[in-house]
Amino acid sequence: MVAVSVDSPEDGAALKKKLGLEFPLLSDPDRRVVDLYGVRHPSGSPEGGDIARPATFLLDSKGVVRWRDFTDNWRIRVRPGRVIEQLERLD
Amino acid sequence: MAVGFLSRQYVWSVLGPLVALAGAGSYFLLAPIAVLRDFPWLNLPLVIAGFLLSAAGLVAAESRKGAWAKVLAVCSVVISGFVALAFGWYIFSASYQLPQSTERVPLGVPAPDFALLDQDGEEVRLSDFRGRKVALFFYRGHW
Repeated sequence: MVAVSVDSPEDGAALKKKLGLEFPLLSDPDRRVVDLYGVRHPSGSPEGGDIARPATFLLDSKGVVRWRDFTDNWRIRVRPGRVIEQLERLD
Repeated sequence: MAVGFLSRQYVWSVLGPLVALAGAGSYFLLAPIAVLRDFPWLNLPLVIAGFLLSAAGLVAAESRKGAWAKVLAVCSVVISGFVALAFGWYIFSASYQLPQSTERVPLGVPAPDFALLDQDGEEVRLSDFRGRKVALFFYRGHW
């Protein structure tokens, strides 16, 4: 599992500690990877800055994209059970 | 005694905004519960109940003489109505405001490689995970 946001590494460290996460939180302040994957949400942050929309990509062991989810409502995220179910179907 | 107290119309006018605000505010506290986050099954009825309490207070105030009772009842309806509109806007409109999803990275193609710093300032490459399945999440941040 890898998670990407436009937050700083310091924000990532705080969130990882707060939620007890065991996977890396990557920092993309320049929105470089956000744009590489086409998931920029212009003016999406409460402060008006550009952020990443919630999006999930599942890659098989060769690095090929096998499943994606772009929610149409940022309150409503893909459920963990659904991601696990899809991951189990991959090679 | 309690019944006599509750039957006074101003109690509805005071309770209304409190119930509406509690209903809207607790949505964010309950957000970790996915079923309540996806749709406000608990919070929307509370917000509506708050507005109805204020409306009941306004109806009750009609039959009273004091000007203050009417002012209070009207303020109550305005506050509860504002809370209900703001909550409804957030749930049913604002959170749907997302750009069209793109085909920048379609299914069946190799995911573009990248390198970013993790929370400890260490560089992580997507290709470091080659040979393992990867769940790549983008999240809004600003938590």
